[in-house]
Amino acid sequence: MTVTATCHCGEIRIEIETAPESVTSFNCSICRRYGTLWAYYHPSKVRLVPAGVPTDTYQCAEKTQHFPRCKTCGCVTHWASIDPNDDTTGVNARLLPPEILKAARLRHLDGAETWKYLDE
Amino acid sequence: MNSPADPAMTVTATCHCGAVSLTVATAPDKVTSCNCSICRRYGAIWAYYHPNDVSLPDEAALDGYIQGDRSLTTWRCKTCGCVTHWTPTDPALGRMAVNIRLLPPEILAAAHIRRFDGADTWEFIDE
Repeated sequence: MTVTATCHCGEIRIEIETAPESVTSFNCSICRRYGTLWAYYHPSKVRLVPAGVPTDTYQCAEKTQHFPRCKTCGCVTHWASIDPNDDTTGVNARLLPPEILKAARLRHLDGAETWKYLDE
Repeated sequence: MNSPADPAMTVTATCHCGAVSLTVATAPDKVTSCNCSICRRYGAIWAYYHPNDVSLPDEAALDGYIQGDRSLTTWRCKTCGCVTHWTPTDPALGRMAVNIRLLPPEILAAAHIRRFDGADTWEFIDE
């Protein structure tokens, strides 16, 4: 069943094919500030609506990913890899309906140091 | 910051790219996670201060968003997009909030997080 993530002002939607089973809280320097919860998908399972909607975008120093956000309300919508062959993108699950986020398992990844899940 | 603050007590919130920082007079002991339509999306955790106790950044480095009842503006860094703080539309409110996710992680870890039901009852859920 398709679920839709929506920024606050409604300019950007992300349609994904299935609700996430788990979402990841990441404590690296950018994610701890964004407060994002990432739901990971293959890029082919994720659709930005309207297609080509202009966004503001930030790249961290490593320049491996970029983080688009709504130009109006500033909600961070997702991250995408700079490498077009990367098979993963992350949707900010905080933009999903609350009941879908609530149903997903919350996992904590130590991106600041060990790059291991802290809940295993 | 308009009132004298003890420099040893101040803490500074900094966005990821470093373009925006806010210094507050004291580290917060209680902070608020709100589930209203905007706060749940921003994932922000708010520490409330009187505006006199916060050194505000230059608005030229910020983008602002005004929503709903237009009672407050939520600010973010124009470059990296980190949500930094909100200010009231009416300065007479005498209250603003800083996103403590931008403070050093140990300060967030030490704070007591209260959950506010801004989506429905406007009451704290944990009390």
